[in-house]
Amino acid sequence: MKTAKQVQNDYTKGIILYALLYAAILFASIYAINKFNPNNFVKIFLALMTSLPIGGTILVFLNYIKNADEFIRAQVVEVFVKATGVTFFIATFWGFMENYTAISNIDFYMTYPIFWACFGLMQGIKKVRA
Amino acid sequence: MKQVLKELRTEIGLTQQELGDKLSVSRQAIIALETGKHIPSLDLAYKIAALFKKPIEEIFENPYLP
Repeated sequence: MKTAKQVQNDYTKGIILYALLYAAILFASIYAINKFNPNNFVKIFLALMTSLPIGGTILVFLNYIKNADEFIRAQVVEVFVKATGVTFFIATFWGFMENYTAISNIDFYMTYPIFWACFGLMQGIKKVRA
Repeated sequence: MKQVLKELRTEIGLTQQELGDKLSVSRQAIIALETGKHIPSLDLAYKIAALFKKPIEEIFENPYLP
């Protein structure tokens, strides 16, 4: 059985790995599309490749809440739900504003980094309140 | 309730980290238990009771008893 520290380390390493993978594939895909203007089949493939690391982060997160102790599990699940709520709020608010005002466009795929920014923010707020 | 766990831990000379390791929980969980910020599950309460060889209700007060 893993210790609490090992569980935490696995989580940190996993999240960093998939976040770096996501960023690397995203920037490489954008560069490739701008540079070579590939056909739609290649673009779909690149879009899929960019999206796959998100599944990895979710698996890492699920593994974390499975192996973490009950206190940590309750904390991170609460933060995750709050971050999801704030992300939904931002997406709905911004989407509505885009449709009915002259506000600038935020690409839909930015939802993922926005979620993790919200997650970090919610975690920070929780720590300050503790 | 919170003081009992801290007293029991210090009586046997364990740090929060050491107690956490024995119970397979994080140090944060021990801090939360000692400060009353986390109410343990029945499973964790049983583990703590077994470790200190005491009945659960000597460590965690039952708020439902009159």
